[in-house]
Amino acid sequence: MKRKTIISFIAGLFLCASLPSCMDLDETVYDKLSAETFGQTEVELNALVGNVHNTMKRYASNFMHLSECTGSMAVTPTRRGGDWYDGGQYAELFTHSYTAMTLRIRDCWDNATEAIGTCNSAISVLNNTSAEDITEEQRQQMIADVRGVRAFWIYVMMDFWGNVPLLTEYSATEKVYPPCTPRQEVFDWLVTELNEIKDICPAQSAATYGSFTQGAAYTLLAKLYLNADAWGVTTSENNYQKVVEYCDKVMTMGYVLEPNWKDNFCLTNQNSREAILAATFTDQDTGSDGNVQWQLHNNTLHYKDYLGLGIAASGTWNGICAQPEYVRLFDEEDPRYEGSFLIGQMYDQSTGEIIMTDHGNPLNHTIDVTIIKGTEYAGSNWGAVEQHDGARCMKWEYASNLTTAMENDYHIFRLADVYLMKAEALLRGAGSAGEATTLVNAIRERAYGNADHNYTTVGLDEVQLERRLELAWECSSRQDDIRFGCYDQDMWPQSNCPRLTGEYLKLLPISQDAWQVNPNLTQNPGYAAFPQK
Amino acid sequence: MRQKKMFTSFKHSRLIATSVLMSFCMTGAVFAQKATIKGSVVDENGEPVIGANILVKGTTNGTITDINGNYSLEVENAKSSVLQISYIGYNSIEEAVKGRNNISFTMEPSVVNLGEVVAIGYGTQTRREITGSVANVAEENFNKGVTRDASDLLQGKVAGLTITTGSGDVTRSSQIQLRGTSTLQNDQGPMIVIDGIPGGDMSTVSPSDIESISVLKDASSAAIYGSRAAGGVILITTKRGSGSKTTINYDGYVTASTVANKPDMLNAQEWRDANHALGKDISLYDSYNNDTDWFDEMTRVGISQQHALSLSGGTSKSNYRASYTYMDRNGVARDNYMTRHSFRFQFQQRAINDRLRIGLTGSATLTDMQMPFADDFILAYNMLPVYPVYNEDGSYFTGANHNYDQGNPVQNQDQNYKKSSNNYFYGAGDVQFTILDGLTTKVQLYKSRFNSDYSEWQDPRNSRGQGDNGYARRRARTWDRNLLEWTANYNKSFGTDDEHKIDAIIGYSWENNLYADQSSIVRDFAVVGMGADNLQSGNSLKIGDVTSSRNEYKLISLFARAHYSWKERYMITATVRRDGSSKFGANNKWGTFPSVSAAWGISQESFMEDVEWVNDLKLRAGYGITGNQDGLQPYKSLDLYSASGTYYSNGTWPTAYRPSQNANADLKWEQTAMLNIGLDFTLFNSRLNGTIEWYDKRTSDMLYNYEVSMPTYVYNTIAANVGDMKNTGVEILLNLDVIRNKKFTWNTSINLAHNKNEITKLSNDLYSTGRIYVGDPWIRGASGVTSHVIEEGYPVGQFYMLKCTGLDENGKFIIEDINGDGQITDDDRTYCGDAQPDLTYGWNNTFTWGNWDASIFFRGTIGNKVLNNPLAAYGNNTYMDGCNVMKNDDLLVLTENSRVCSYYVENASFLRLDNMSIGYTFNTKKIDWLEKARVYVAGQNLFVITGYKGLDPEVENFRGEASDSNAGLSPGIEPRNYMPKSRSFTFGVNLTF
Repeated sequence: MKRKTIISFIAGLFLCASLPSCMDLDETVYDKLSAETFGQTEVELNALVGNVHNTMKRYASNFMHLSECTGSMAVTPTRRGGDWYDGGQYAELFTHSYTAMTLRIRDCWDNATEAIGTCNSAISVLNNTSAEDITEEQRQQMIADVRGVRAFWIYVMMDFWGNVPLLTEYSATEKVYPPCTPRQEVFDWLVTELNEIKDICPAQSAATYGSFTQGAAYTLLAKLYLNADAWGVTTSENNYQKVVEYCDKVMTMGYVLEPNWKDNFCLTNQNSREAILAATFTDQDTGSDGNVQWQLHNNTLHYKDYLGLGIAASGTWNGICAQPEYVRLFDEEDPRYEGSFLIGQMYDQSTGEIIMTDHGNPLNHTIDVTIIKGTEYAGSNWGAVEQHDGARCMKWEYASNLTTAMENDYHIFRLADVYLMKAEALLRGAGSAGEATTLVNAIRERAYGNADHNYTTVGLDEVQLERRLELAWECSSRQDDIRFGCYDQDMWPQSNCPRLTGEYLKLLPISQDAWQVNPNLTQNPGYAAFPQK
Repeated sequence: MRQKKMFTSFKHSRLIATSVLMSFCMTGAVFAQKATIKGSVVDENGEPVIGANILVKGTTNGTITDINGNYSLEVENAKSSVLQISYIGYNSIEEAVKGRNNISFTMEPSVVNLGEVVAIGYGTQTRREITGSVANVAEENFNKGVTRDASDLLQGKVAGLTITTGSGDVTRSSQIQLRGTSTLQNDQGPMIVIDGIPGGDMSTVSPSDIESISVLKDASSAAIYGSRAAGGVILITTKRGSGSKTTINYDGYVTASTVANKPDMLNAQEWRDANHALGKDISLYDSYNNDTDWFDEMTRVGISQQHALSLSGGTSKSNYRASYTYMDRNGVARDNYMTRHSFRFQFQQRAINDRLRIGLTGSATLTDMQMPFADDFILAYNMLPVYPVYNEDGSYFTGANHNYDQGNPVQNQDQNYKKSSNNYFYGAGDVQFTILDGLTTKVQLYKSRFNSDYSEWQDPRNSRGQGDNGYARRRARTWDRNLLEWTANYNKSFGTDDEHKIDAIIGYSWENNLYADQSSIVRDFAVVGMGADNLQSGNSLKIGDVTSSRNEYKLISLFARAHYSWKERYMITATVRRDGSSKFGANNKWGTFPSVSAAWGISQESFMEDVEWVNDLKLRAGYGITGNQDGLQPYKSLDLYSASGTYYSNGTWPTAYRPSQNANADLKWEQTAMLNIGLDFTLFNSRLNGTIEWYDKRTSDMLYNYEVSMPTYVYNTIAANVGDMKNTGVEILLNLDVIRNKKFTWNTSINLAHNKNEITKLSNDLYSTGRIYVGDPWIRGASGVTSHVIEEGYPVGQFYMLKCTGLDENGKFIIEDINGDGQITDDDRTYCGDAQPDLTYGWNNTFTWGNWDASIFFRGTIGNKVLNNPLAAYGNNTYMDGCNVMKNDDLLVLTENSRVCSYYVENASFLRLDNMSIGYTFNTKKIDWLEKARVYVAGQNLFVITGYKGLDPEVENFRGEASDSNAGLSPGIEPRNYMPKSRSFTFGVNLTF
């Protein structure tokens, strides 16, 4: 009996172990969707393309800091008490002493590469979908839209870093670690890519706002040719003729210079007929799950500015402000002066009293930004400035109920830029000064609301100035300064913090962290080379 | 889908039924011979031992000796029964009855009870038989005073087990770490096993229900718990009723807690003087005539109480115990409390000649608590002493609410809240059947549900709520756990004098875990009376503010252990566990975790017979492999898409979708292999006993979110198994009866632990990681400036920052220019000490003198560093006109902003008088209804001796939320939003009827 018991006992054990459920480790996924089944309907594919559009939201914050602070437009000074010193990363941007460790450069690299990865994976879904509720034409348009966003990000990387890895395939299992492709090859790839998609992309309409449209493709092509010389790439074309050609194309697409300049920056600026490529934001953005918030107000406004502006957003961060001499370029009568900057004494809207800062100073946003003597950091002239110093960004309308997220959209490309690009190309040899003058005057006349400030004739200096007046805070400064040959000239001379000089600084260093995970990357010339692994 | 699920659940029920049936169907009656056994128990001097426990082994049938040391006990089977005799302070005895009617015992005193039965994984062993490293702490050695859970009872008692209570927040549980850091994930500490149910939660067992706690310290003893045991295992054994004796026990105490440490801020006059000394104009602020100590205003004396009532008893066939514990704790912060009702019920019944045993356990833990907003303490640092708490008309002072990091913290405490109501229910049932002598099979079923209902309210009238104009959140979470375990155990002694002993177990375990969460946040409240109880009265509902989620994972295991011992002289144990987890990637679903350990009972050798001064000597060695999957969330290995915000589409905002992560089909547990060698000794007539252990613990395939290259990946991190880490250490436990006589005893016990931690690898063929900069101390002007580094060749907790050698004559930091380029940049950061101690120690003394008993317990660390971040953040005069500051020597000297630098890294070695108690036991011999009556007073955290200048040198190992995967990698930062710890005084009563 004993033996029988043991046998039945062991048999029972095996019986149990042989039941499939005993060893079944399958899990039910409740709150996410399997990659195998996702992307088989129009709604899902649109949601995927919508996520690709959302990658451009990241351009509005990190890249704005990087472009405007390394350029001549803005600076994030260290505020009295040490706010925004943050290990010197903002000083590095302004003084061009950036290194492979500079945090903002790393963050920008991550934003751009993540966006490219997102595009690649979306394209692979779109290539392989068997969705039956869309036409082949729709599918091709979606693919072109995503390829356009990807081209935009690759252009951004090529602009900032020059030689960048060019990877346009996606595989869930096969991982590749591309070396840096020379700028010339990236440029050529972009030209080919954009020419392939420029007429397949969605056409401009209210329904396609937020997408990468045909207008965006032509504008980007124009930008490529306009900067080709400055980038040191060669083409087989007459670059400036191509700029004119593409700008002309854009100008026939139905875009209109908004009669009221401010309509480009208001809360409902999605209605602007001038917008060509846009990062779309809503005050409903929560900042979680890739739901990026636009927090320009937090970055620029003083802690107590909200009392003076009558907005709900308390506890803003008091960071970035304009470089003083940049502000002084503006004619005070130019509506774009007050339309771009918050300057002067702030008064509490509820009491009418002067607002005082934590340091007992009146909250007066001076144009001047002055380093307080004795606050210099060891080994440098960089020191702290008063909390209230500097003209703040006041270009996009602040909603009265603004708390953490801005409602306004950020227009990456808009028609005024195209006008000025064409004017510049004309002046650089592709046409007449007369036509260029007309274009620049169109921008000035729209801004002032009258023709009193029109030029009789313009040269490149006037175009450069007009770009600065028109495109402050719009990620134009660095690229323009390089193209106009003044990248090493800041507009904050009283800082006494001279910029490093050197041709190599026109390319940013590749982040150390990027090389850590892809040792095939090569550091740009002029910076400490990555060690051999 | 639905159909499939139903089928799956049907399959499960079939599986359960099969197992239960198996336990029943294999029966065969064995003839039993009842008998009554009598005898007496005496001590080494021949004096009767009163109240010794006599228990029939493997049953709950037992009794205790009377005033003359005599007992009488009826046993079911006089042939095969084994009696166990135990008494505190004496070695337990096991003796087979072998048909005798009269058996008397002589007990040997000992500082450690070698015959004591200690819980090990899936079973018990006597201390003499154990081959692995198992520390056992029984009730008489628990910490006294106010205790929330098992961790409070154990703190400082076990060498190598670090238990850190980070703050005075009574709702925050302690952090437990065994033998150093062994993961880069948020270290969840040892796995908790409650009465054999793996994966429990300490908070579900009231301290007064705990009989003993075992800590499985080495891999050879923990490996039977496989992929979850790398952090060690803590086995909690609860009290049970014993046969034939009915007991009612009442345990109650009341505790007063005061603030033990408070930042030393400037008072009003000191603030004025300091500003005048620096020539600062403070007229803007100095328009109030007050002298407020904001920390005093925010804190109080917290009165806590606990009442525990238990009933237990039984018959020779059954036993039961039921208990109810009410705990009401009020923290030193005015908005911090916890009330807890714990119910626990256990019942066991035997049948079929004691061969069948059925047990049922039910437990309910109902907790209501309010957590403080730790950030309110930031306001207390910043608010000027001249500001009042209330305006003259009694309203709150809100004059500073618009300033950075300022606001009226008292108003915040009164108007805001974070509350949670938690229910933790579980039930367990087991059926055990003795198939034949020595062969037992058991099926155990367990179901638990933990719900948490969370409410948060930030009132628009105060500084915290003004940004959103009122913020309300409700969150409901549920964790469900289902467990089935089946084991078969074979236990047999044979040979002459039963010199061979075999104990073997095999088992199967299936569990699944479900988690569901829903949360809603509403902002912008015009009307404020209803807090978070009426979300619909808020005006702003954002799309991403309403969320829900649900996930599930399964764990299936097969395990076995065999133990063989010969004359308790040579012992060997081998275990193996095979774990499969649905969380693991498709390529690594199953892992095997083996172990082997052996012990040599040297004192049992014939050549040791004459060595009188050695009572016991045992050499142990064990090696095993365990795993850790704590940091692994379900679904992490899979290629999935999830909703992610909204996108703009022609005036509407539909939901966007994106890949939810970088999938990793190779994802698996992290693995820890440990070699442990130990020597247990009992010497000098059992006056001195102790253990010396050495271990080498190597973790490989460390789980972490490693950085990867985009765009080949979609995200910049992937959950993967890459790095290696090493911990080596020595632990010493010494336990000495300094004085041992009838009138007075003094026992002293000291434990020492040294551990050395080192990260040995961070890259492999697929993923390459250099340094990981971690630690975010958060001072103004240092966002993104890190304090620690994770790097090969250095320990976790390595400070890495600018090295400051002092202040120069201008009051500026002298920073060492490490790379010599004449500039101070990030490249000049260097290694500045680490946060892991070289030595942790505990020193306990217990005294008895007649009816009096007393204990005094010290513990501490040597050689660890702590970043005194409050001093960096609030010890600087930069903002002193508008913000209050901490008193410090440099206040008027320093002329630059604080920096994250080694200037603020301090030696945090400490000695703490952690626990002291004095008790008196009344003579109740003449009161027939009262068996025992004891009163005691206890003090906790009475003083700290340390060179550390901050609040308290003992800071939490990791900060932040459990979801912050980097939180454990920057230990040793005293956070700037630190809630003060408490010092407690307790008066307690213990009555047994």
